[in-house]
Amino acid sequence: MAEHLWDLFLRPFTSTPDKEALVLSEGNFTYGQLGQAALSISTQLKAVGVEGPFVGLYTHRDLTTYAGMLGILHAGHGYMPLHPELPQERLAAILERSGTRAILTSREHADGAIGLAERSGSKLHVIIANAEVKGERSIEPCIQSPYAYLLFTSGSTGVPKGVPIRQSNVLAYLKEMERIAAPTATDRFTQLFEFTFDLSVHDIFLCWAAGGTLVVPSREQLLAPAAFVRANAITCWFSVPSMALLMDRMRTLKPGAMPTLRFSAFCGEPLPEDLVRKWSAAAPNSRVLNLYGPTEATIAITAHEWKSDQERGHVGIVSIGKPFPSAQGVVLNEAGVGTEEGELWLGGPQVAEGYWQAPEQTGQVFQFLPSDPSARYYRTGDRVRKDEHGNLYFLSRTDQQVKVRGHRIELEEINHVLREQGGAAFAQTVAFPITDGIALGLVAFLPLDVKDQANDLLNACRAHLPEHMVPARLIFLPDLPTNSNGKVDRKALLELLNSEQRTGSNDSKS
Amino acid sequence: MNENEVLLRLRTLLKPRLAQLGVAEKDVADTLNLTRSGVLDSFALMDLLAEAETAFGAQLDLDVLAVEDFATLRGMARSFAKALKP
Repeated sequence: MAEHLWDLFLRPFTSTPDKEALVLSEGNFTYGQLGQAALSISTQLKAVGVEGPFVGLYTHRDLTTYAGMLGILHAGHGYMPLHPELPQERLAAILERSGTRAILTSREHADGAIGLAERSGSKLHVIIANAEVKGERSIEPCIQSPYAYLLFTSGSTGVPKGVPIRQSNVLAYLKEMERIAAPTATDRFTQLFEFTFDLSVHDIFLCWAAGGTLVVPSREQLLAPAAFVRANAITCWFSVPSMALLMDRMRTLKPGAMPTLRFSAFCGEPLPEDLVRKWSAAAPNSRVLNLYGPTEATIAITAHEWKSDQERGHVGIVSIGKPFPSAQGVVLNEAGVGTEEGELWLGGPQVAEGYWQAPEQTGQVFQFLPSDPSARYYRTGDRVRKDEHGNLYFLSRTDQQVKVRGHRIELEEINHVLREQGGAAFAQTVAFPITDGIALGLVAFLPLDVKDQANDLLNACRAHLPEHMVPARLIFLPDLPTNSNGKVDRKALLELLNSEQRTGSNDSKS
Repeated sequence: MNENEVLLRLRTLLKPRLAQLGVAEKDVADTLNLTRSGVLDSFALMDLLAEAETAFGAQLDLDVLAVEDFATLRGMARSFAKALKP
């Protein structure tokens, strides 16, 4: 059995080097070419003598991104995605948090990477990848790194949290997914997720482990996903439900529109039943799988295969199913006792070791089961209901985390920026509007006295937060409504927006 | 509504999106490809198109149109004006 992600790639690299591994806007690459490019990058990294468990990867959807991931893994490190379009301020904070000593980049993004390195005080190597696809480098075994990648998620204290994922975590996931999806070398996978999303790891390594072809759409191809599927004879689809929702809205989910699909998976948001029905008609030859899992439990950890004739879901939302056989999931009430409706705790080989160098935050959510002090679990903060068959249904969050297009957002992180950087006395951000359990945008409530600083407030958000965390609207109020406990009444804020939508008025607009 | 009137209306719909992104209106030429240039991601562009469809009471078939016919303001205006013709 493979012990490293590199070993999964090594099989098709050596046995089918002429097979197409990667389709990019810039060209198509065989396993042989991609593998050679990865080895040349690995050689570069070893020559520099990079230290530390992680190497930053400052690229975007080009050959260096994919060969870079493999090269970093081969050279004995985990990769840490640094999306060039994220605010430099945030990237610098991530770099500092991670303790990373080196950034791998492509020629195209070299200036940005050097700027970032100069910005972060600590001494950083910037390595411009020399992704040579030709040559006959000898394939040395990979240097063993315990880690596969380090991803950062939104943190409620205003600082992103690092989640280090081990190779063993990913391999445990892939083993389950190989059983469920049974991918083969004839499969052609979509690669829709950004590499800052752990769901991209599913696309990339499930595909390569089977010797299949990974097809990366251009920005323009993303505008007509069904046409992209047809033109590229895609067989395996994976996206957030939001993408299917938009396809439906633009009427491109026509019956029979995607006949080549045999396996469709969704993750990251609630999956509405009506939507999945339409998807199933558009992709009549495809199985449809709903996946669920936080980054801390590696990609996805529960699965539910949707069948058109099965019992109705909960309030029109498809079940997230049961934990994988190798994983553990228990539903506990506030007293830590097993219940039908409560917080989902996850255990097993996919659960991460904790947050990167943040013992306090780790201790808050990586805990031992009250009933079994030998079993370490991750508390998801997701409230779920378990039905009589053991299928789980997502209900709500126990905290202020929301999802926008599958991106996990701690609203308090946005509030923090608005208060600390924008100078607002108070800030309350809510997800709105919400359709079928899917949040479409963010609205921030702020004091009246900063009304004329709306642009500065938004600029502060843009400088510190990724685009999907910048509020679409700012609404200025004299005070925040409070409930009987003296806490901010978020329901009242949402009701304000709902009633405005009902009457069509927009008086409070900034 | 002719093409130029449609174009003006599209600019009105785009305006709040640009404000959120911190992009100056004058930097968005009629012929700028909104996604290739990175001004809007695919979600935001499709969202704009859906809003425009409601506003104009006309529909575009993205499976059939060339990208330039809906990814630039000029192309969008042309396509909507065509769809609106009696």
